[in-house]
Amino acid sequence: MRLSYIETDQHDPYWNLALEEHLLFRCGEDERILYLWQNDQTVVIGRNQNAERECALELLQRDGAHLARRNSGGGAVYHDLGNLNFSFFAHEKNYYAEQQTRVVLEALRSLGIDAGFSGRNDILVNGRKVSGSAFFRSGNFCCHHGTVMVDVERSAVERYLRPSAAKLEGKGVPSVRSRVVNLREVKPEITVENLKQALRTSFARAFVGEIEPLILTQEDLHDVENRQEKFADPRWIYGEKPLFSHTLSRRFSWGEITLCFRVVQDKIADIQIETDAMEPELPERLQKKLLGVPLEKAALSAAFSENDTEKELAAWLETAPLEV
Amino acid sequence: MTIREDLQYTKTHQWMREEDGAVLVGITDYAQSQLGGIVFVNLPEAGDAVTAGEPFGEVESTKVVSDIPSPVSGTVAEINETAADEPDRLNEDPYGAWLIRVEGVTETAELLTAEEYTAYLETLKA
Repeated sequence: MRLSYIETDQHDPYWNLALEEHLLFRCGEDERILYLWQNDQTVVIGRNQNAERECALELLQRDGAHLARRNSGGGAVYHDLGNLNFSFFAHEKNYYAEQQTRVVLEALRSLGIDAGFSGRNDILVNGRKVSGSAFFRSGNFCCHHGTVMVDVERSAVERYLRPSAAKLEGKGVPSVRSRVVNLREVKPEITVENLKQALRTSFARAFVGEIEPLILTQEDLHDVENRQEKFADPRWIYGEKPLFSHTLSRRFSWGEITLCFRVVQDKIADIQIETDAMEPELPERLQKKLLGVPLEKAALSAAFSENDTEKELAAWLETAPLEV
Repeated sequence: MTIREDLQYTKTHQWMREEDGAVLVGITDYAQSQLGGIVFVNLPEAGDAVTAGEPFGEVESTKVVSDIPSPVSGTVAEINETAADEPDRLNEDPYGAWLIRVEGVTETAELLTAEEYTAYLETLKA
């Protein structure tokens, strides 16, 4: 198994995301690649997220910070040079997300940081998140990438990212700031360079081999530049303008729900439902009940009566503001 | 893991079946099981060209975003709106929930029989 390593001094998020996509396509069947990279101030949103809903676009523009959309799913994150990104690439037959997360975990432990797993692929220190992961694949090749917060400007996270205030409140945490922690706050002497070295060592140890530097040829760089155009294209970043004219959002004891309606001739012609409720069938069930219903409080609330969750929704919709 | 005898497969985990001079394309049972709960499907539009080996769409599951390479070159005659609107059908019935119907097929990618695809999946378990 070849172990390849690459880092660059390029901080342009579009170029970095392009190199990442390039590496997925050039990874060999018997190769693992580790790529470490950093972006200048950038909000990076998930593949299928709505840019306007996730971040404060005006502030980003005012401050000259970037907005980028990545290939993987999941939520929005904020990067600056206090953050280190890692990307692992492998053929699907060699690809184990948990083992790769362990590379990061062991790197942190080797630096004297008492880190642990949480959920599927988060890493926590003292109960607060320092690293999160997301995933994408093309053909038979997989990419597992994530962030490690070393010394990120946390006030910027709060300024630019716009998670629903209601959601944070519901989970009993007052604001974004206290959900995450920088490694520097735990161990002041740590630097991005220390962390890079620890990750390389941990990568070689976990997958048992010598690391070879991955050198980009002119041809590779040309491919990266072509891919950069996609990532920098506003159509990729912002997507199509949403067709939904009415959005209602509310937090309940069972989770948060957002209803987006498209209305044709006063009736609901299309509906998108986002919720973090644990009941997986909920969006589909609600969707079926709301399609074709007139956009009036009485009609909306009358659509729901089956159980307690629906009754709560009905009571809310009776008082919900329906103006455009 | 279900692998149907009457379909052809690609190493990137798509299936295809000829029907009335056109080709139906979907993702395999292995693909859906690796992806987990599928929450989003992005498909081309009728009339769009697809190229063998090149992605024509993508699926997002709760774990991962994956593109879907086309097993054939040709023109999309129809997309399965039901699969696009109810992505979990790809988990429930991967061989029933086709994604696109392609006409005017000019070229195919490397295709595997059910037996060859089964053997290929074995190599991934190593």
